[in-house]
Amino acid sequence: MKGQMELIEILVLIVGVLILFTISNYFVVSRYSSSSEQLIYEQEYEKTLDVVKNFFYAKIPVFEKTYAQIFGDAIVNDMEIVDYGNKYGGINSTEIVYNYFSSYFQKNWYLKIPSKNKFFGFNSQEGKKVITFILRFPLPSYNSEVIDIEFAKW
Amino acid sequence: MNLRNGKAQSSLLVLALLVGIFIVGWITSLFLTASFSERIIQKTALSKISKYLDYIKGFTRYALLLSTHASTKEIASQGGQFSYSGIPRSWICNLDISPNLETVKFFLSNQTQKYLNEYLANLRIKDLPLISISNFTCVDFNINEISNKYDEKFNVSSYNSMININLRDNNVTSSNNLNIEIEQNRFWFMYRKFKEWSPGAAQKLVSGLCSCLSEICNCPTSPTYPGECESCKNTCPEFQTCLENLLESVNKDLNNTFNDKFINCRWNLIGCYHELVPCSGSICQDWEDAPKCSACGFEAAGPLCSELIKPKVYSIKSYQLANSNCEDLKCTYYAETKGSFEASFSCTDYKYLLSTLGDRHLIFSVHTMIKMRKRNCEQEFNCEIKNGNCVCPIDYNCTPCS
Repeated sequence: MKGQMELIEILVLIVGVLILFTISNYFVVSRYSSSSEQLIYEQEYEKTLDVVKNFFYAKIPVFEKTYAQIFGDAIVNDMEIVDYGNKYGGINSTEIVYNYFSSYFQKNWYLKIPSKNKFFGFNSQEGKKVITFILRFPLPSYNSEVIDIEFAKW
Repeated sequence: MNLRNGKAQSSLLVLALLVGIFIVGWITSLFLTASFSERIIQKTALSKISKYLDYIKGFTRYALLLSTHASTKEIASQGGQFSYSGIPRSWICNLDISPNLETVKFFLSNQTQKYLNEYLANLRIKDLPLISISNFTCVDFNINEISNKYDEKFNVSSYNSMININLRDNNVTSSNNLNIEIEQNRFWFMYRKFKEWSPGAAQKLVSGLCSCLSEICNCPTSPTYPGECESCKNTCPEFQTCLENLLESVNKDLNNTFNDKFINCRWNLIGCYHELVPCSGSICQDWEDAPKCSACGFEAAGPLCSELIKPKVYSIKSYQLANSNCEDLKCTYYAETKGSFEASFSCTDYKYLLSTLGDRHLIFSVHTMIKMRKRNCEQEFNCEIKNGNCVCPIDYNCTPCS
């Protein structure tokens, strides 16, 4: 009789431990899962930020101008082919923007300038998680104009 | 029975011990996992801050480039200075008064700094964490001498700006000092060449005007056009043509000084003014009180001298001669011709185009003003006898029959 009681106690202990383990595991897994999701998102966001900030640094060979400079000149003067004088001639700004972002994100990106009603890139696919980054971008001007550029990737 | 109880108790103890060890191990791993995740998130946050910093520095770098392009365009169009009037600086006012390197650097730096700080003030990032960027207190063009090494590229530095980023309790402060190379901008090349041209041009313009003053002899003594400084095509066309030829020649010298197939210079005669004062004058010298076309400004163009020199009234005199033959005597006429003009010289660089709004050519313009007076129009007449008196045949003779 006493032995049976002991066995029941052991059983209760084991069941209790299992319940405790299951509950804790649920919290740990959910927390770990959300952390992982957040980490993945952060890494993707960082990558996007990296590509966007490189726009200010990377230069086009021969022309020796950054992508940002060519893009800015095209936007402010509303021209696709930006002329850089008799020595270098013109450069297709739309082409360089597409080449630059497609080399990182294939066809999974777009760049929108709401204030200038301009759109570059591709339409986003439904169901894909879109990472959007609002980039502040200085334009050539005499009143130091800075515009919002919406960049998205998925 | 006791043995069985003892065995059961020890099994229970071993089991409890195992469960205890398992729980302790499991809790430890739980904490380690959580701490690992926290560390990763922390690391990610720091990495993100570093990328934000790079982004802001990239923004600032590009803003500095745009500010430099805007200021070089603006300062070049005003001959190396900045004024709200927009009138180019005078480089020649009878003498070469071209700005020195320090003066041009001062205006250029101030203007670049102004634009750059405005760009930073407009950098309000909604999506990004708390960022504060202090203003630049200095922008410096690293040009130590007037030299051809700055013709095609030069360096510009900006100082004393700090970036502060706050993200998830991580606070990072970083210096925003920059030093960038500006390429394909020939501002200093144009300044250097104008500086080279200026002394010779001043001499040529002065001597040229002295020669042109003789053309005023047949023009009205005091033209009455209402403007401040305008064309004298109607009042004295010969004088105007002479000045145009002079400017063409000086402009040719300017083009030769550049000797660059991508640079094209042109002149513009803003206006000219002339007066004629009978029986006055001497060698060609500065017309100190020229009332029009005598603006010479370092910043905003100063007011023109509005005082008109009133022509002197010369009385008609007749001379009675007693003991000489009147036909052998001579009388003379001469006059002081006074002239002034203002002109601008502008050179456009077609080699490169700037990153600016509107016209993207770099155009360097300077203002010049020359004002001189000289005795001219000398004529000699044979005296005549009228009403028994020996008189000069002209009304405005300067010397009597003698």
